[in-house]
Amino acid sequence: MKKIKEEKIFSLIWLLIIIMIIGVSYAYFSSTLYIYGIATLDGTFDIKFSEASIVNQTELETINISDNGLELSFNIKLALPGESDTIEYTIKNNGTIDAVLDELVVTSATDTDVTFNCSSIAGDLPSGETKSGTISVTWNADSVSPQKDVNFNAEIVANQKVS
Amino acid sequence: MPKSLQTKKSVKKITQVILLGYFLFVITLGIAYAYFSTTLKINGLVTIEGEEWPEGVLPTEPVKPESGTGSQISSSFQSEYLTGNNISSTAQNKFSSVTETYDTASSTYTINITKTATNGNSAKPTEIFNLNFQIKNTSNVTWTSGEVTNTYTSNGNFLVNVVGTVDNSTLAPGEVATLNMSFSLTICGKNKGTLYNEEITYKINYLVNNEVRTTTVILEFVSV
Repeated sequence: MKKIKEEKIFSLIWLLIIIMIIGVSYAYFSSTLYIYGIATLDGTFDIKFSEASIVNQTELETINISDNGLELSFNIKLALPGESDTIEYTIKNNGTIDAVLDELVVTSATDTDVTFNCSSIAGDLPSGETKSGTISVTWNADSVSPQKDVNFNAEIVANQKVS
Repeated sequence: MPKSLQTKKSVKKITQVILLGYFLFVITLGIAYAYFSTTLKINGLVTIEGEEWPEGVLPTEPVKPESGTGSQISSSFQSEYLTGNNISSTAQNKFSSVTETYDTASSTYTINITKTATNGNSAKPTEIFNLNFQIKNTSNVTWTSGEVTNTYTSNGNFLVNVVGTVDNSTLAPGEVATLNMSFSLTICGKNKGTLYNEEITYKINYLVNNEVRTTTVILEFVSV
């Protein structure tokens, strides 16, 4: 009985020794290399109106770009049927990401006395480049309206270019 | 635990995982869209309004009648016959004399109308220029019970002031009736080349065989 007990103790000791040997060997022959890094996404998407003007602008007419560059406002005054004027604007890609401009979409209601003609603006707008468009406003020659205010609202959507 | 209950728990867990994944996907997509898309807005207000020049304030550029030939003021001149059985002519001129012939079955009557600008070819808004109309009976028949009057309708581009009228009871062959009219511009567009029309109707109301004729004068001016 005693002999059996001793054998068990020896077996346990040998098992511990083996485990320690294996552990020391692993510690000796194994190494973990760590790599630490930070991936920073610093691409910018920044599309804004950069310039805007009214051809033949009078003192009564105004045009301006909002401080954030995202909104263009104008005020045109036409004195006679048949008269017209043109708004010229430029959009610039100030960011590092190439963009694609959608076509200008007029969101206000149409009017029978005033006609708006918008040039095509759709297309690629690579980083750092500009794209210009025009909006012509005409008081229709056959209009009999003596006085009227006509609102014009439009949107241009710029999306990231996907290759 | 019954097997059916275990299955229900598994299904519930899978559903939760799918919903969580979809939720994260939508949020990620939304953030990406907001970051890589921009909407530029254009807002405008267009006011159409006949622009009356304030008194004493003149535009920097004069408005003058459209150039004709030489120093003549350009205008178109049209005539029409309200009654009568014959139409003999419709004339246009560039502010030079024009002869219109009116024929009837019984006899021939002729009228000659000369229009002359008396104070130059150009005028700024609020300035006045004058036109002189001379209506001459070039026929060999005396017109009786005749009168020359004028009526006009302004469309707002001009103030039309008649400074002289004609009311002749008769107009003998070769006799001339004179009508002076003055115009002052009250409106002006900003676009060069814009044409402004003013239709002024004056009536040459000579009763010959109880027939009345009316002549319409259309003045055209262009911004220069």
